[in-house]
Amino acid sequence: MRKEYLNNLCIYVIFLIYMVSGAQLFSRESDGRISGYIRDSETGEPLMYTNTVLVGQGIGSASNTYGYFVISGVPADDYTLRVSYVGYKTEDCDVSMPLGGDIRIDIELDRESIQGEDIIVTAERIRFMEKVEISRTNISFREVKAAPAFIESDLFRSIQMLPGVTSQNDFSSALIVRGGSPDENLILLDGAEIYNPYHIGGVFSTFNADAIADAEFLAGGYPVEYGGRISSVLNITSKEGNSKSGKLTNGTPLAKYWDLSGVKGEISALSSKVLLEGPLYRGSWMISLRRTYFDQLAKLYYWIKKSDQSWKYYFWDSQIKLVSDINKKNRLSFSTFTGRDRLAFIIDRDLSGEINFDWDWGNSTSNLQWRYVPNSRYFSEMSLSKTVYSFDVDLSFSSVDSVAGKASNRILVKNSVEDICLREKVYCYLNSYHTLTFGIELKRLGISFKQMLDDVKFFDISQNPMILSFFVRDQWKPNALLALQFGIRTTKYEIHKRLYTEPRLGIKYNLTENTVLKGSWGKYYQFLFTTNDENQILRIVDFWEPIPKYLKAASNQHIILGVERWLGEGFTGSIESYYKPYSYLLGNNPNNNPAIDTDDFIAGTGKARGIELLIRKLNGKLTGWLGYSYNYVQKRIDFNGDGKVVASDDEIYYPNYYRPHIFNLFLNYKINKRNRISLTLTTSSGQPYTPVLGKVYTQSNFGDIDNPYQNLVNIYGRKNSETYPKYIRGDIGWTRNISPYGITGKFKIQIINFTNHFNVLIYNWDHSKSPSQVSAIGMFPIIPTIGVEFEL
Amino acid sequence: MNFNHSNFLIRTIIFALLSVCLIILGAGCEKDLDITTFSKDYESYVPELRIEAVFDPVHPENSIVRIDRSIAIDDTMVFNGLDDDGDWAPFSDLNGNGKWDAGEPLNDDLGEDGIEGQDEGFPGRDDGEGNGLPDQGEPNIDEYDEILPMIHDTTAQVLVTNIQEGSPSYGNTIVFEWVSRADSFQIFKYRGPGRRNADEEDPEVETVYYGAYRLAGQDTIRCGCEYELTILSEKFGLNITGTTITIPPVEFLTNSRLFPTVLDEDTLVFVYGANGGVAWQSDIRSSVYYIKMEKMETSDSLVLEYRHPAFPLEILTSVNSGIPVGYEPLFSDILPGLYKLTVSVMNENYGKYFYSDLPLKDPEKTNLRDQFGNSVIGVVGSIADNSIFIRVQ
Repeated sequence: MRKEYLNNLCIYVIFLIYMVSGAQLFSRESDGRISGYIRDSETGEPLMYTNTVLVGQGIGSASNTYGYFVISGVPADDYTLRVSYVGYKTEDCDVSMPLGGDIRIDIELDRESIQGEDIIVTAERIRFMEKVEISRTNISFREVKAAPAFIESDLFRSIQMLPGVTSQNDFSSALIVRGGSPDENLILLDGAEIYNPYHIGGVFSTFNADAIADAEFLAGGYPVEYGGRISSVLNITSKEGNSKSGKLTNGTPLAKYWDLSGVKGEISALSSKVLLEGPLYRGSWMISLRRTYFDQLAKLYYWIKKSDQSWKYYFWDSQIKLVSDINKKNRLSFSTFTGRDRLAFIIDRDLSGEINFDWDWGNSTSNLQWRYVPNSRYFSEMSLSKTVYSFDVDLSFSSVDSVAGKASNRILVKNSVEDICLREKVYCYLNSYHTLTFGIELKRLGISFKQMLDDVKFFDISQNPMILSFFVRDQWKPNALLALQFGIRTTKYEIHKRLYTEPRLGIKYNLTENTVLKGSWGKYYQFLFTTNDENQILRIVDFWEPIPKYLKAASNQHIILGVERWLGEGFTGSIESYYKPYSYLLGNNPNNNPAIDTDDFIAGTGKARGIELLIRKLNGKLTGWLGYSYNYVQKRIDFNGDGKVVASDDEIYYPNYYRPHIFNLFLNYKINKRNRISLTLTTSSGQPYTPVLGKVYTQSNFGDIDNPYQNLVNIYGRKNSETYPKYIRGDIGWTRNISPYGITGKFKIQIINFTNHFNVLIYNWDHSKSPSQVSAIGMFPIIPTIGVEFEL
Repeated sequence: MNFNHSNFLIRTIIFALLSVCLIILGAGCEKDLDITTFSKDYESYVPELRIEAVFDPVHPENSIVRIDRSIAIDDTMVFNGLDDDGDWAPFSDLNGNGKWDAGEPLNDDLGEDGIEGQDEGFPGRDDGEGNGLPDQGEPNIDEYDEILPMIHDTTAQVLVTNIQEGSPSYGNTIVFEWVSRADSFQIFKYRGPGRRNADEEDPEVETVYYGAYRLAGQDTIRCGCEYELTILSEKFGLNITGTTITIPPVEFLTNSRLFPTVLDEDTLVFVYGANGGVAWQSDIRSSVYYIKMEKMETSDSLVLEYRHPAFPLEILTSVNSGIPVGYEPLFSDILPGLYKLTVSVMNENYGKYFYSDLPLKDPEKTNLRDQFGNSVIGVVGSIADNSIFIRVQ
């Protein structure tokens, strides 16, 4: 196997040498380049998608997400480099380019007027012109904060408002993207992968909106640098921190190394959070902390009642980011994220003993990144990250006998995923036509499941597969109208013998200055999956497993075609269609024998297709978007293992998150300088459910051997053949800027489901009566919430 | 997965999950619906047969065939809220005023929750309490003794044929005949103060009898043989068949190097708190175990401690040359005393019916077919049990 790795490495190196050499042949040695970083002069934060142009020459480019720009193909001459960004003063610099020169210029722009929406508009226009990727949406933290939310702003819930994205129900923030299940989405925070990013069983995501600088969401057709998932990519970049406006240590020797620029906080009905930031030696730092206080309120309640508190629940999360520019060419950054939930209770069995239950789950991620920009031709990012997701249950119980004494037992269940990943990605700006991106990703997974009873191990399964991937992509702009993207990703998954190759293509054609035609095709593989039952209505925690030897990697293709139009200043529209055939997908085997390990999961096929419309307005008093999607999803799995996939055996069905028609509206209106209101409205087809036809007494499904009439169970009709009523929900919010005692802040009132529409979560049958009775359990009723933000 | 007391863990995890769910679902609400809203789902459904035929080669007289019908959603006969057998007792109108007054015994007239409203710790009176009429939820209304006779099929013809070539009774056909009190089970009923039967001995346990088909005559069911079940139901116009192979009971591993135990004649001896357990091996075709632990109060009196299903442990099976091994640890709540551990083992057919989550009529879950080749809800399978005594000291 090591020999295979080396062979593939050789192939890639040769391919890269060929590509780079070939590209060199097409570039004129006499052409020069200009490169550098664009930053905000007040905070030091990078400015993404800033426009840089050589005045009068028609040559220019835009800065990337790091604020870095490169202008290639510059003949020897004297120029004026103009850097412009709405909301900032335009900056002109004189540049004298020698023959084949390589000039580095870092520029800081001064703010002209703080117009958050205008900055977003400009960035969007640049992305519209530059980016080839289809199905891409960028969401700023302002949009996340502006949307009315259930208690707290939540990035995932904002994304659920986009066409093609939905959730299972109101209680879940997990993303269902174009018919794919939640575990098919790659969630990255500063480049590190996050598993199970939810609190309270999925009601909230673990990301603090205030700490987010940018969130790029790719609903499909994403390029080769992203692998290991087959539906979507959510790439979250956290803030770097304000490196300029230190307040505490000014004038002292410490100021060179550390200072504090600002403190922001928020108190809501759910939690308290605080964000601190400031300059660091040659860089910046940012810390954000959040904790809920259910347990503290409960403690107070029990203290008042003068009784023992027998339970406890809380969650907390934290994010830290440190950035330092060692010199012009090298930058180091370190970011870490931790989010944990804890549930514990004690049941006291009077004098006969007690039961102690402690359940703890969550993520922690650390990411060290080195950015190296030796010259304007190359931009290298190397990162080493470690993510640990763990789920621990500790149950101990004891009994006391007046004669024999005390005895106790302890049951431990531990499930963990450890992901250590070394990544190297290089952007090679060959010339004004070709930008090559290539890289390697070496990931070592440690997945373990352990169950112990005292000293006896019932399970102790550990798997440590390695996943090695190479990728290379060329973005080619043969002319001003056309941009093409070819890429290939090859992966060696240690548990399988074969190599997995994922070719991907993208095309962008400017029909007019404001209308773009985009298309993409790609193949995708996934090597991890969650074993959660797809029929569960509440997804409390995820159980991750690597694809075992006896199953193939999950796989599908994305075939996407769309048109995007810049309708006006800050006004965009797009229509997109997709087809996603799944050649291999996994599910839990309902027929699995618990005594056998190799039949827990079962494979099948599926398909998803649809069409989406999105109209987005990014500036002015009224902003927001309108989205509509129609989709069709079907799965085909041989659940009973008889070699046939038959509808009458419930093997061809719609998944329970399937909603053919979804309509979303998000509006944000700025009444005046102090007041803003927002509205979200969602209506969709009802989700499918399996009808109940009758009832029968049965010993099936772990009935009682002694009492064969204990279980009165449902007799079901065809799986997911009926639908719940339509889903309708409207949320409104009002935000008012306040300044009590000179502290800048915001006061928010939000009403979730303000029409109090009853949306059905599940039907509940009571068969103890004749005729049987049925009730509907609903999702969120009308819920008002309030919150306060402050900034120091 | 060996459930053992892990089912306690599972129950606790489920409880914890439910706690979280309740916190979340507390934000939701519930709305009663009219079932006619769903009439297009169920209006064409016709009640069908459910058959559970279980052969016991160790105690053939315990072999049983249960034939019952399913119940339609809109059925109004089975759970009808009426006192069909005349055993419901209204409140005692001591002052003869025709209505219930505080202090008068309610007897069975406890209302929908079946609990007397004045009992300590319970909320107030609920609907139907003391109204003088039988209501659903009250004792002796729509209980097993009324329901089961309405769903039993008593008119079927049940035949079991030995189709194991080479067996001494190959080709023999055994008849099963209807017995109205074929078997029984026990249920626990709440009896609060003021309730009828409050002074009866052991008032909390009730024995329920049900009807089924039992072996007629002295025929026997042999171990390791294949049998074909045939059921002719005139009522449903069906000829239902299925086959199964009977398996032997488990063998306790008392002298194994891997599971050292102290044996005093036929009794395993354990020290309280020392954390030991009992292991056994079973037929290669075995599937699910059912564990029952009973405490011997006296020489002929057994009290149930717990019972639960279990499965062979792959870790132990792999070191036993692939022969399935099960294991039951002794938990701290097994206090010093004498116990009887019974392990019942199901064969593949019965085990799959028991644990599989496939739909009831899936052709891989049920091994019964009618004359048209359609799947019939249920199973024909076998179960065999073996017991061992345990002394904890």
